[in-house]
Amino acid sequence: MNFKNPDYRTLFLCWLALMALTAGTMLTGHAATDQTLSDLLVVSLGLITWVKAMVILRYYLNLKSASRGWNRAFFSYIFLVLGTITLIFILGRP
Amino acid sequence: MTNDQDDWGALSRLPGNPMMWILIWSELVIFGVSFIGFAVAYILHPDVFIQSQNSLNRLYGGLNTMVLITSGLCAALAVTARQRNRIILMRLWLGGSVLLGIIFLWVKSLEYTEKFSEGIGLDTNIFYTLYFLLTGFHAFHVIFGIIILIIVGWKDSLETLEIGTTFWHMIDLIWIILFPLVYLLR
Repeated sequence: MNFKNPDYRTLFLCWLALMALTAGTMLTGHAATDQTLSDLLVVSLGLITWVKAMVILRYYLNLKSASRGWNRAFFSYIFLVLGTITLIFILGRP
Repeated sequence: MTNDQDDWGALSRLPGNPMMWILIWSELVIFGVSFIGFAVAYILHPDVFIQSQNSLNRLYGGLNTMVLITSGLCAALAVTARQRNRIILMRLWLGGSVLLGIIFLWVKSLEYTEKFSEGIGLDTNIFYTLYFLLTGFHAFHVIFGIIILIIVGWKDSLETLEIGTTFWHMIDLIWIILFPLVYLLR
């Protein structure tokens, strides 16, 4: 298999995307206030976090050069963890 | 990445050293269970969690996320540089990665100092017990990761460099999930 690391340009673009998504995380999570988050914002936070995790796995960890099965396994596991956390927060809140 | 991993079965279809991926899976499972445990504890003690979480400095958490993401970029660039036989450039990128790792720990120490000066510690309440355990365990990984990055930067080998940077990205990945969970979700 070809395990060549992504080129400089791709890695810089990923970094830009991750920084933008982190800013999105701060905004979505109302980092500047103590306001309780709505269900929609909780789900959005979970989705943004999942996308960030995918970028790190696929490009920083170079998982995109691995087999499709491994990609699915990692994506599914992270989705399962984040999905469970999101569901617990939404369904269990008073 | 190396292609001499044919004896590892399915693991040979992953880039880098298969043993490192086993470690990554183990860590992801351990942290995954801990994160779900944190969410369950939140539901069981919502008032304590909301009140305590609101006393955290979310800006520090966001800043540290950006620091680690940038550190991860430097580590990935170091591997690309090494694959192109640019040894000095590889060491420079790796140095940047280490420096940003130290900045992460410095920000984390500011956060801890702030809490300790307010009389808040590990046994203050369930939120702070989990907060210090999760972030502390992660910070321990950062310290260990910095040591590994220094070693792999000193030893000029693509394989060891890939092992070290893979570990570093795993630390990054865990923080990406830990940050919104501990600091933002409420």
